[in-house]
Amino acid sequence: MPVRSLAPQFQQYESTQAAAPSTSPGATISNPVGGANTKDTTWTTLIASTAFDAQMVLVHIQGSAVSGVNTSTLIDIGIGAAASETVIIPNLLAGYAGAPSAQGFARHAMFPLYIPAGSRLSARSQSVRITGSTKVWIELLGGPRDTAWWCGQQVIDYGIALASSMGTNVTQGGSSSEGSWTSVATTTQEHKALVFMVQGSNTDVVMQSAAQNWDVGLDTTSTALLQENFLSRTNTSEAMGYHGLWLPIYANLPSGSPLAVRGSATAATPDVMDVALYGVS
Amino acid sequence: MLKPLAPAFNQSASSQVTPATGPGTTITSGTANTKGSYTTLIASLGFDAVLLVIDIANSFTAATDTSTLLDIAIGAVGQETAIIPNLLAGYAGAASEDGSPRHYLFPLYVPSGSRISARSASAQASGTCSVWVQAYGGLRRSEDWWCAEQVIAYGINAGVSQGTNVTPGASSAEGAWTAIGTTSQDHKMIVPGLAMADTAAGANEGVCLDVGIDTTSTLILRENYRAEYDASERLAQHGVWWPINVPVASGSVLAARASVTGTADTLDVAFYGLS
Repeated sequence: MPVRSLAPQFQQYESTQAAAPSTSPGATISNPVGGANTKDTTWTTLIASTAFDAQMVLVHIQGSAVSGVNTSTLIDIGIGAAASETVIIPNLLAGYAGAPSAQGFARHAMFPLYIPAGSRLSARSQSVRITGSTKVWIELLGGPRDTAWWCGQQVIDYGIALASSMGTNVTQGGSSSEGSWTSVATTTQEHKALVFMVQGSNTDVVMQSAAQNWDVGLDTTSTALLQENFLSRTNTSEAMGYHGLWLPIYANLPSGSPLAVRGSATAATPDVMDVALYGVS
Repeated sequence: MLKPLAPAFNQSASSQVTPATGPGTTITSGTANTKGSYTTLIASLGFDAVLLVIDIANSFTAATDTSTLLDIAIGAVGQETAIIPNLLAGYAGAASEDGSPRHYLFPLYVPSGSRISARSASAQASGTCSVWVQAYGGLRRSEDWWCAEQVIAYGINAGVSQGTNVTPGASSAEGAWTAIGTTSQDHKMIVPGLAMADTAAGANEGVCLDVGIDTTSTLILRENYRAEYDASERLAQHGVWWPINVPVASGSVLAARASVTGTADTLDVAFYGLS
């Protein structure tokens, strides 16, 4: 039996979102006006000083979608004092995220990542747009009674195309058939967890109302499946949301592992979409 | 803080394995406020699971009491045993590009080979909801992840397929603490459940739900679980509702309070104790 009489894993919690209800939670991270596909030089504080050693970081993203517009966006999460920020989670795919509603919240990413107490957390954007913004909200979990929960100290992004604020384009299979495996990148370090994200693609700004199912694997030829069935949904206003909880993929991945993704969609001719993976080590 | 361990989960299974604009298996209740038959979600689990994620959608009808209680069970057909009883499942909208409306995250042991199924009761005869389950397991070091073997529901009013009604504070003011139930066992985690209990909500309202012990000198266990409801009587969680990982002794009075952005409509709360 896997049950132990341990105290539970996380007993401490904090959030960037003030203790008041909101129909649109999150800090507004504006796209930099200085140029398309360029990192903002300004960071926006999310948490001024974290209260405890965190071992799980939940990042929530919403509000970047604009109908008929390519909103490809990359969000960095930084740590450190103002003007001394260091990126701890780079280039989260944040474009094409709809607004929250009474039907759900668009997107999330769960990182088993260590953040020491007293840290200032912040965020910045780069986007194909020089107007508009994304809303970002972070929750931290920590405080286990022992160190039994594995968490990493570093996140490396794979499949990012900085010049277009995109990930890697994946053509899904139509009519719910599996598409081909698409190579995303080869890992440059050993990782124990992977986080998967999707956004729309700037090759296709006329999205369909469709559902997608994503699989993550190793190697595009004799593929070893790492995790199947990440579910998402798009609409004709170029918004995309995740369905269900997208937990991290836990696997021991050596450096040099070829990361691959495939997708299937309900549409007969699916929209091209944009994926990235984040290795935690 | 770091240990060079193998990761926590390296096996998973889902009851939803193809893309679907309306994911999930339809669960149909019996006559009003009566449990229906069990419907299979996963025929045979391929590994020992230590975490279940349950997603619920599509139970709402505008201006209608869609209060629903959902049981998750294991066991062969005709021999099901509820392992997660009476999840609040009513007033859930459709999964969409906005995300999916409601989820529950249960660190719970489910043995390999188990058939996982669900049934529901609703305030409406033959009420329906869509349910899908994801199971995670395969720990390389089982001592690194605590999981429960039992779930007890608190605050359930089976006669009306509801939890316990909570009146939130309006205009972002905190409401009063409301007793939801007194624990009958020691628990190591508490999972919160939230639904509506108002069939005439006037507008979209953001919600914050706080969880505590004792309604007078309340010890706050967790603040600011976020949600939103609308005038079509749909309620969705915002963000990931991680369980409350705090030991709670038997005999503890579990309490809830809530606030909403504007006009207060009655909400419905239940808690699930894991041990």
